[in-house]
Amino acid sequence: MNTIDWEFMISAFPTLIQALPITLFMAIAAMIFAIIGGLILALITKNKIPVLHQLSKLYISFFRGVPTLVQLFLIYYGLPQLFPEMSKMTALTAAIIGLSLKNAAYLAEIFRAALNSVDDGQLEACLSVGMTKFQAYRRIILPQAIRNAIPATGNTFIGLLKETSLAFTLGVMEMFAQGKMYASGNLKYFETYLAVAIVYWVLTIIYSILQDLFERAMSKPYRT
Amino acid sequence: MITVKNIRKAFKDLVVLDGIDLEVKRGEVVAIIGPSGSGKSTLLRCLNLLERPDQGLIEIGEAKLNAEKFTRKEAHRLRQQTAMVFQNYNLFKNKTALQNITEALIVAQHKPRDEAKRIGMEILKQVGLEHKADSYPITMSGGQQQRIGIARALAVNPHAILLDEPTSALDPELVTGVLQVIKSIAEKQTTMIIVTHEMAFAKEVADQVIFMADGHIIEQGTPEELFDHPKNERTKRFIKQVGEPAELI
Repeated sequence: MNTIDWEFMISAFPTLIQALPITLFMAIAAMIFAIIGGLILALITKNKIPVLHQLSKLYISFFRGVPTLVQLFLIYYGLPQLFPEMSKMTALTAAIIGLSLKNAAYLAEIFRAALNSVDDGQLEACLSVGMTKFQAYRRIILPQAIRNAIPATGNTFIGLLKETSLAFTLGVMEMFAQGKMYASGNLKYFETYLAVAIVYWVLTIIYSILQDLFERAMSKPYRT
Repeated sequence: MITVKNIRKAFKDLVVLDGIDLEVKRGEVVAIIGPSGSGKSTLLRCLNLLERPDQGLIEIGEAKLNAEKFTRKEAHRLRQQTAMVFQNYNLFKNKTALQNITEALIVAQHKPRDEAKRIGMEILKQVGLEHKADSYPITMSGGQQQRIGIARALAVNPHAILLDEPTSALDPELVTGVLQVIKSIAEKQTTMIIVTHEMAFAKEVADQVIFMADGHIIEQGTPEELFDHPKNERTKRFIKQVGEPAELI
C-alpha cells in the first residue's frame, strides 16, 4: 500500500474553501425556495383545495420519483431545447431551480405531517375567539408545526447540502468540482477527495449544532 | 340576545339536529342537558360555525346569518359574537397563560399590547391565576388550564360564552374550582350557554334548562320545572337515571 500524504491533504483545504461560498449559496438559496414551495404544497394538500390538490400530488410524485441528477439535466440541457430563451440560464441558476423543485416535494410531505400533528382543537380555539383562519395559522398552528418539522427538515437540508455536489455535472464550480480540478493537477485523488469529504462532514456537524440550539429554543413551551 | 331558528344538521345519513329553535336573552344562563349523542355539543358548535349547520337562521347580538348561504365575512362576524370554552381546554400550546388570553385581543381586536396585557392580568386575577401568567399550559393542572380557557373566552368580551362540557375532562377534585369560576361569571350577568353533565350545577346557576334527545329539544323550562316537575316521560327517565341534583357548591 502506498502511504497517504497528509500534508498534501491539509494543503488542499484552502483551495476547497474558496468554493465554499458557492456551495453554501446554492444550498441555502435552494432551501429557502424549497421551504416556500413545500409549505404552499402542504397547505394545498392539507386543505384539499380542488384541482390544485391533485396537481400538487402529481408534482410530489414526479419530483420524488425521478433521480436528482436526471432532473438537473432535464432543466439545464433539456428545457432550452423547448424554450430557446432558457439557454441564457446559467448552470448555477439551473442547479438552484432543480434542487429547489426536488426538495419542495420532500418538504411538502414533511410539512403536511407536521400540520396534521397539530390538534384540530387549536384551530377551533382560534376561530372561537374571533381570529381568522389566516391569523390562526400564522400565530398558533405554524409555530407548533414548525417545531414538529425541524428534525425531518434538518435531514432534508443535510441531504440538500451534499446534493449540491451534483451541480458540478452542469459545470458549476462548487466545492466538489474544485476538488476534482485540484486532484487532476497532481493526481493525489485520495487526499483531495478525503479533504472534500471532511469539509462536507464538518459542515453538517456545524449545521446539526445550530439545529439543536434552534430546536431547544422552540421547545421551551413544551417542557414541564 | 341569541335567536336560533330551525337549525338542522346531519352527518351523512345521521340526523344530529332536527330543527332546533332557541332563544336566549341577554344575561341569561342556559344549561343544555341530555344523554350523549343527543346533539347538545353539535348545537353549541353550530352557533359559532365550528360545525356548519345544513339549514337554519342564527342571530347573535349584531350578527345574523342564514346557514344555507353565507359569506366568509358573515361567518367571521358571527364568530366574533361568541367565545367558546372547550371540554379539553384547547389552550394555545405555544403561548403562556397570559398570552393565551391576550392573543385574540392583539391579533383579532387590534388592541395595543399594553392594554391587552392589562385586561389579561385583570382577568387572570378574576380566575385566581395571576401567579401563573408566564406559565405554559403543559405545566398547569387541568383545572388551571380550564380556568385559563374561561379567562381567554371572557377577555374578548363576547356577546355570549359557549361552554362545551367544561368540567367533563377534569379530575373530580378539580371540578369545584372551575364551577365556582363559572358561577362567579354567571353572577355578573354574562350570557352563557353551557352543555353540562353537572346537574346540581345546572340547577344552581341556570335560568333556563333545556333537555335534548335525538336532535330535538324535548323539554325546556326553569331548573325547578325541569328537575322537580318534569312533564315529558323521557325527561323524567333521564332525571331519574342521573339522580336528583344534590347541593354542590
